[in-house]
Formats: sequence, structure tokens, C-alpha cells
Amino acid sequence: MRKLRKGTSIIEAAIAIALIGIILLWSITAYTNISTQSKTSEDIEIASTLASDRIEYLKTLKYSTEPGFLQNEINVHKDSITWFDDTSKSKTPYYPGFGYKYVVPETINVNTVTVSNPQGDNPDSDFYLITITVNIYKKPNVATPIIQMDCNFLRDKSDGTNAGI
Amino acid sequence: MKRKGQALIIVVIIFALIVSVFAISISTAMRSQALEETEIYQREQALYLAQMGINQMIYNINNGVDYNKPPPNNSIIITAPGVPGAEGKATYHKDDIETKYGGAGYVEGIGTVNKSQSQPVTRRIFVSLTSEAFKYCLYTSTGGKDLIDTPDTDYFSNPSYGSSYFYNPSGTSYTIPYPDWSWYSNLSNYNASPPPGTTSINASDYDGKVLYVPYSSGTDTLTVNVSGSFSLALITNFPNVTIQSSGKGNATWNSVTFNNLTYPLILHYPSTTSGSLTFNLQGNDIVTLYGFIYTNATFSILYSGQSNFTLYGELMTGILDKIAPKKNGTFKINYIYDYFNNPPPHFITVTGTKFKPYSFREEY
Repeated sequence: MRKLRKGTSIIEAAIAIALIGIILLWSITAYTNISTQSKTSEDIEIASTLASDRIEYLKTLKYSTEPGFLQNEINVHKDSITWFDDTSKSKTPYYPGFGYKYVVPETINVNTVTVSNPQGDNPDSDFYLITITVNIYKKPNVATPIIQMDCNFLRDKSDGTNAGI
Repeated sequence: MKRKGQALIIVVIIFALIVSVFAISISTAMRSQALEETEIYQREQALYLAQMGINQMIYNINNGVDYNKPPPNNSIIITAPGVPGAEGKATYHKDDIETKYGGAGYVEGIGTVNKSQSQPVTRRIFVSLTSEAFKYCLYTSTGGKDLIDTPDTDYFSNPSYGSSYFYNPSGTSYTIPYPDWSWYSNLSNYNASPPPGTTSINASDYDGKVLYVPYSSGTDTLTVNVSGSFSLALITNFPNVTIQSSGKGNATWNSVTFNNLTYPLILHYPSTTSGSLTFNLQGNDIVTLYGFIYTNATFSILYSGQSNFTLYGELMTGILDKIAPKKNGTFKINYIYDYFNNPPPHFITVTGTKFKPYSFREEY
């Protein structure tokens, strides 16, 4: 009578260990991918919200080159990234690591149909249209924005009010 | 008897399967979430692209571009500088304004992201248009007001916008909105018309009507006799129109609402701007009007006595001639209806065109 084998052979154990190794390797890779994907997804969500937030803020501004107005706001933030790292309440929202910059095209459209009417009221007739791209960045990559969102603003220059949407 | 080594392998395989199913589930969920986030982001992009198209179109209209044309000349397409494969399209519409959107026409904006892909993300929005020209007591393309030496407040009152009048010095022209004549002259949009060849009518005979009086040839002056109180919307392309008071009393002219639309009191739109719309006020008649008066020709008022002319609404005219009353007579326009937010129906706006407040909406 053949003696019964107890336990596992080296080959069987090796196969089992190899399988476990493959599972572990695959799991780690999958975990890394999922983690990265999750992080990217979260970043896009935040960046999208921040971009919309910027655009909606700009929409509320009247046209003027004075500080606090549309043209000035765009000029101030078009050359370098402004980070949402400031915890002071006046600099909300607070999103450390994220920043924004406006990319402005070369030409700014300004309507030149100006009506001179010295004897009466002037209707609003001089319009300003500017297209910008809101770029959202995340540290440490300051070369490539996470997202880019295009928008434009139409303003009546005589009183600065919004003529579009 | 089973070999224990094989059992270990089977257990490991089952374990591997469980781990795999678990990992795939999480991965799928994460991928779905990522796709969802991307779509939300792209939907935002599409919305702003749609708005960009609309803003560009409003800007172009103010620069003299006419989109009151059949497709495809009623639309523009703009590309997005920062988002490849995305575009914003704006299309000008003037049909169904009264039933759908209000305003003096409306613009449809469609923003599309991933246009070349099988499932592009699209947003479709609408805004109505209005014009700065609807903020004034008196708005004219050219001409001179012969009352300039007296305070404006004697002649104009505009608590809503404070805009009393606009007119250009001689030699300078300014474009005024113009009516969609094909709509106004359409049989379904008026409910009365005198027999062909009629050149004189009594306004009170058409009380409560939208009266269309077409001109073809022959006598080029239409005389409208006014007395007493009546409601009338007068639509005509006669070169010359004279509104004649009786000299025996007062006249009160009210606007007409037809098919849920409040029509202008007078819509005078001759094919030639050398025509005229003249109020000929007799004696000491007091003529009071409630509504919107439009002519693309020359508007003037003749006073034979000490008549009073009072308009509660707005006067829009291509050319302005004399309107000053004689001594002790009065001329006054009170802007009491908000035509900027509720412009007269079916007017095509040109310079001064703006987005009508609170008219933004999205359709899916």
C-alpha cells in the first residue's frame, strides 16, 4: 500500500505562492490605478468648480479698468498663477494646492460705434467683448493646467453693465 | 483521496476570484465616477460656450450685422480657444416670440464639447433680446427737437430709466429698431382692414381692433380722424399718415391687446422714409395716448390752437420734425410702461441691442 502524502509538494506550494504573488501584484497595480483615478477625478471636480466660480465672479463685475472691475481683474490675474492657498476669509475659496490664471487672446473686441449726441441723452452704444480662458492649476505642476474653460464677457462701456449673459 | 496540495490551489484560486471581482467592482465604480466628473466638467464648458456664442452675436448685432435672415445666415459658430473640438453656436430667431420667449427676438445658443466624438456633450440655452432704444420717452434716428431751449422735464418724464430723449444732430444718423413687417402684415396678426382704396377712416369705427391699412398706389396720405375715447392699433405703410383731431373735444387713444400681445398704437412703416406721420391738432383739443408709437418716417405735430398732446408710453421715429406746442399748449411724453423689459412685439433690434434681463433659460 502506498503511503499517503501529507501536506503539499514543493511544486504545489510554488504554484500557490505564484498565484498569490500574481494576485498581490495585480491588486497593488489596481489599487494604484484606482487611487490615481480617484485623485484625478477629485482634482477635476475641484478644478471645474473653481473655474466656474471664477467665471461667475467675473460675470458680476462691471466694465472698468479701475481696481475691482472687470478689465482690471483680468489684467491682474493674466500673467501669473494665483493660488487658492490664502486662509484669510477675504481670499475665499480656500483650496490649497490649486490656482488659476486667465489666458487672454491678443485682440480685445471693442465696438467703435460711438454716437455723439451732445444735445440729448446718449444711448448705450459702445460695447466691449473679451474672451478669456480660465486655467486651473495644481501644484507642483504649474506648466500644464488641469482644466481650461473658455468664456467671454459683453459689457456696455458707457455704464459698464452687462449686455450679454 | 484528495491531495491537500490541490485543495490549497483551489482555495487560492477562489480567493483570487473574490479579490478580482472586488477589485473590478471598485475599478468600475471609480471609472464611472471619473466619467461622471468629466461629463460635469464638459457640461460646464458647453454651457459657457453656448453663452459665448450668444454674447458674440449680440456684439455683432451692435456692430451692424443683420441676422434677421433665413438659415444659415441667421447663425454664427465660434470655436473655443482653450478647448479643442469644442464650439459655440448662436442662432437668431424671431418666430413664436410671444408664445415662447418674449422680447424683441431671441437667440439660441448651443455649446458642444467633444464634437467629433460619438457622444458629444451639448447644452442649449436661450435668451431674449431688447434694446436701449426702448428706454426712452422719445427716440429718433435723426432730426432735431425744437424744444431744446426749455427744460426737458416740461416735456419728458421717465422715472424708470431717466432717459428722456435721444436724437441726433442733423447729419448724424442712428439706427432705430424696425418692425418685422412680414409679421405685422400677415392676415393672422390683425383683425380689421378697411376696403381697398380707403384713405380716410374714423378711429372710433374700429374700436378695439388691430387695423391694417395697406398702401398700394394712388393717394398716398391716410387720414385718421380721432375723437372721443377708443382703442386701436393702426398698422399701415401709407407714405403719409395724418392723425386729425376734430377741434370739438378731446380724444383718448388706448392700445389694443390681440392674441395676448399688446400692439403699438401706431405702426407706420412706409417703404420710403420720406413719408410722414403728422398729428394735426385742432382748436384746444386734448389728445391723450396710451402706448407705443412708431414711424420710420418723419414725425411732427401741428397745433392750430392751444392743444395738449400727451403720450403715456414711448415715441420712436426715424426723423423728428416740429413737435413744440403753441403758447399755453402742452406736449408731454410720460414713460410709464417698461418697454425695455417688455418691448413691443416683433421688432428687430439693431444698435443698442442687449440681453433682456431675466430671460435666460435652458432646454434639454
